[in-house]
Amino acid sequence: MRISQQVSRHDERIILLHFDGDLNASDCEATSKIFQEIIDSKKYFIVALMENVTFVSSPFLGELMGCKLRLVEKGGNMVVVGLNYDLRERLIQMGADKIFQFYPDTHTAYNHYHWEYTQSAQVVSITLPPKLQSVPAVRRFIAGIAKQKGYTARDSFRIETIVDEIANNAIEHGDSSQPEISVELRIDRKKFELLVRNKTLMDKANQLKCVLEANKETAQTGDTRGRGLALVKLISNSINVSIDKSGTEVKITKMREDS
Amino acid sequence: MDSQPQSSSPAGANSHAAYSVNLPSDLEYIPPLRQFVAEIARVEGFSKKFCFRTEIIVDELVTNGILHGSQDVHSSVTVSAKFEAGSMNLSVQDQGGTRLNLENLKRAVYSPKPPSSDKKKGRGLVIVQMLSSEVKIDVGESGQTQVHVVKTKDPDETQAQREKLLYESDL
Repeated sequence: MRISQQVSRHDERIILLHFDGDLNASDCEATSKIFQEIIDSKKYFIVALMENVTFVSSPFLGELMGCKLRLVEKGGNMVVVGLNYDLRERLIQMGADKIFQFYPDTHTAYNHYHWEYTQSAQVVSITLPPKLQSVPAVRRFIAGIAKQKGYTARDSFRIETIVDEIANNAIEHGDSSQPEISVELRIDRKKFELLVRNKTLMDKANQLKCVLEANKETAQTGDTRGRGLALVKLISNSINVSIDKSGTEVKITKMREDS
Repeated sequence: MDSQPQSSSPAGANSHAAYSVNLPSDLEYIPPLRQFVAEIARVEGFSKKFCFRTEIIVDELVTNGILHGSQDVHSSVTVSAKFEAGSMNLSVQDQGGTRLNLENLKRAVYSPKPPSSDKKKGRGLVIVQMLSSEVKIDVGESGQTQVHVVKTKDPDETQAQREKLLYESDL
C-alpha cells in the first residue's frame, strides 16, 4: 500500500488521502497513525481517493470505519471517491455503503460537503415562454430537484403544487406581451425558496397583493376557481409579493419538513 | 381572478420558443434536467423518439460541462433550448475547463473517432454526433465553453406525422 496526503486546494479544511495498491491488515497501524495526525491537526474532513486501490481487506475497512467515527464525533466526515466497479460491489456486500458515502469523483464529494456542512444554498434559474403547456415540465423539474436533494416525497409533492400554482398565475394573469417569465429556485438542506418574476399589469398585481394580504379565500362557494393561493399559503411558510415597474415578483419559502 | 389565459394556443404552435436553465455544477441535477428538456421538446411538438434522443444529448453535454468545464463547485452550467418549426437549437455553456480539456473536446467534436474497445470513456460525444444534425463549439472571451447542437426532425418523422394528421382528419 502507498498513502499520501494533501490539503485540498478547494477548501483547506479538507484533506485528500490518496491510497494506492492493496489495503491489507498489515497496513492498519501505519494508516491509523496518519489518521490520528490529521485529527490532531484539527482537520476533520477527509476525502479518501481510491482510484488506484486494488483490494480492501476487512481489518482495513474496520480501520476506516473507526477513523470515520472519530471524525464524526468531531463534527467531520470521511467519504470515499473513485472506487472501481468491482471493489465498490465487494464493499457494498460487506455493508460498507451503510457507513460511507461513495462518490465517483472529488467534484461530487465537494458538492456533498458544501450541501451538508456549509449550508450554502444552490440556485437554479429558469426562463420560459409564457405558455401554460410548459408549466407541468417546470413543476416536475423542480420537484425532481427537491427529491434528488433528499427532500421527502411529501415535500416534493408540495413544492410541485406551489410551483404549478405560482407559475400558472404568472402566465395567466401576466401581461400578454411579456416575452418570458422567470422562475428561480434556491434550495439548501433546510429550506426551499421559489421566486417567480413576470410582467403584470398594475391592477392585476395589486389584486394579487390584496388576495395574499386578506388572509382568506377569495373565492365564493359557487366559484370553481381562485383557491390556489389559499392552498399555497397553507402548505408554505411565507409568501411575499413585490411589485415595481419592472414587474411582479412572488417569493415563497417552504421549510424542509424533516430538517 | 378570473381572466382568460394569455397563452391558450395549442402546444407546438409557437414558431420560436426559447427556454433557458442555469444550474449549479452538480451531477445530481442532471436526471431532472434531462427529463425537463425532453418534456419541453414534447410540448413544442416533437416526437417521443426525438425527445428521448434529446435526453441523451443533454445528459452527455451537461455531464461533460460539469466534470470538465465548470470544475469549481460554486460555478454553474447554462442550458438553452430554442425550438423552431422543425428543429431544436440546444446549447450548453460551462465556465471553461483546462486547455487540455478544451483540446480534447474540440478533437472529439471536429475529428471524432470512437475510442478503442478497451477504453471506458470517450464515447459520449460520438453518440451526440450521431444523434444530432450539427455540433459546434464556441469559446467565449473569458474562456467559457459553449457547445451548440442543432437537431432537426427526421424526414421520415415529419412524413409520419403528416400521415398521422391526415389519418386523424379523415376520422
